[in-house]
Amino acid sequence: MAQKVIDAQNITNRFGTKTVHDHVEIHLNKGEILGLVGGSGSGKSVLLRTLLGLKQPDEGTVELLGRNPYALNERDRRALFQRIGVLFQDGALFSGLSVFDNVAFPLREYRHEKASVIELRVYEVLEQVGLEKDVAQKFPSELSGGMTRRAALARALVMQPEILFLDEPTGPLDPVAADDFDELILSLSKNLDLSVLIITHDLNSLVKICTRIAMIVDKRVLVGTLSDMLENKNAGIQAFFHGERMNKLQLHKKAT
Amino acid sequence: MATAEAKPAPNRLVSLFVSFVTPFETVGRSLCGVFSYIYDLMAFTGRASARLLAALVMPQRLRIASITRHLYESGWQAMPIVLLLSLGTTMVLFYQGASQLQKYGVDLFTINLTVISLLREMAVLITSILVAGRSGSAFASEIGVMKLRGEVDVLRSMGLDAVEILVVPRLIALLIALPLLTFTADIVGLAGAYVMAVWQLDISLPQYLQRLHDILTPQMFYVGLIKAPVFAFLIALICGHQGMGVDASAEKVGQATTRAVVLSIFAVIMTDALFSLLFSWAGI
Repeated sequence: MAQKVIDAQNITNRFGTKTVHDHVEIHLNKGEILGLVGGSGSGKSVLLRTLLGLKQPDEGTVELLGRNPYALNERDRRALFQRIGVLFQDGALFSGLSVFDNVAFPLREYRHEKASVIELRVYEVLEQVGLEKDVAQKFPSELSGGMTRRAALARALVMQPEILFLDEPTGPLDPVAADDFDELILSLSKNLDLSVLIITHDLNSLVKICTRIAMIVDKRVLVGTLSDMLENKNAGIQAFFHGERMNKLQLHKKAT
Repeated sequence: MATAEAKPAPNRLVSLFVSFVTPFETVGRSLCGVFSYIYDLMAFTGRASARLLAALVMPQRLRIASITRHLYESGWQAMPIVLLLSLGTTMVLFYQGASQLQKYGVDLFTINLTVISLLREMAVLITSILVAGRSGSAFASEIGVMKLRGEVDVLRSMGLDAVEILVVPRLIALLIALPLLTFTADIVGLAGAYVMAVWQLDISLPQYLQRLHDILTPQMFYVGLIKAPVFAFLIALICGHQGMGVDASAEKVGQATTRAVVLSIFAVIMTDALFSLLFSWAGI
């Protein structure tokens, strides 16, 4: 039995009277890449925030690397979140800081090391995500969408986390850039021994990199491999996985 | 109003009753809004103060780079406009005072009037209002935009406290900058009063200085200056709180900024009135 790095049970989230998640169960095994999908507004990002300790669920328990992120004192909280990297939607780089300072931020915050050590680590991780050295001195407003995501990924990886959360990393990227990004995540997760939870709309990414898929349908989460999903008779899942776009993808796959 | 429209009253008596009650409802609701705002602000103040104390006890948690940046932006860059305003206000005050007091032949008292009100009230008030408008709005909009872009979430997902990183450095910077700005406003105001004294009352510098020496006590200077850190605290917290309250939409940033400035100027003037009461009770 694989070790669970995230284990969330019975999660219920409500906004006012509207229930978004109804007793949801989701877990992430060590070393796997779990794709979280669902229609727009189905509460993917809310679920991510719940797992991350940013939004307390109305009911249920979250365990992140064996700890409940909602019941930690400050020291434990700092210790726990050093082991987690997050790439938020649109990167969310600190706009007032250069790429270098963005990536160095967690290091400076947590490790009181010499500037030269920090510099070495920043350039190392920038290289890992495929960014040139000269990008380091640029500001977030000067970067393209793909570069912003890579820089944000570098920031998420700089503390050498065990879990990586990705919120629609390939959303507005063109197909080639999105493919590159998928490759990057795949190779990073192998090389760095990462467990990855990825929210995506991109069917290509799902097919290509995800070990398992979790889909939010009707306030519940259904989990399975891609072939499980394709065989599932649930109407919502059918619509998602047998839509025109998916069929094209399947045909394409068969052809090659 | 909204409830009255949503449920049309079945007869005239009920509608009369509704129209009678509605104003009370409106007043009650806005009062509740005020109280819940004050409650929120108190909670925020507690949080920020705890963070401030923690940072002062553990100096390695002080974000020197951030503090310096805000000192430069809120303090140094505000200098020219503070000086100009202090100079202008003092000169106008002097002119008005002199033109009235001349009628009674006590024009020398214009110096008392101007200089005492400058040191006790005007310098610190002008500086605080200007800083509230200048830096307070910047605090609220900067933090608001960071909240909007998800940068605050990033901080929290790193296990860091957003108040400690975003609000405390601004608070510390204002706590240092505002007294310094007030002090310079004092000095420039005194210089402005001198210019007017030469022009309107025909006195020389030694005479002016002698006059200052006779009427001024250190107390007057301290009474003004002691208020500066208090106002700085109010401005930084009210504006930081507004910024942290931004969620979801871009127009909220604009609203938060406006509210931050209005509320902090309001708080500054009310607190100043409170100080006046306190000082008069204490006989200062």
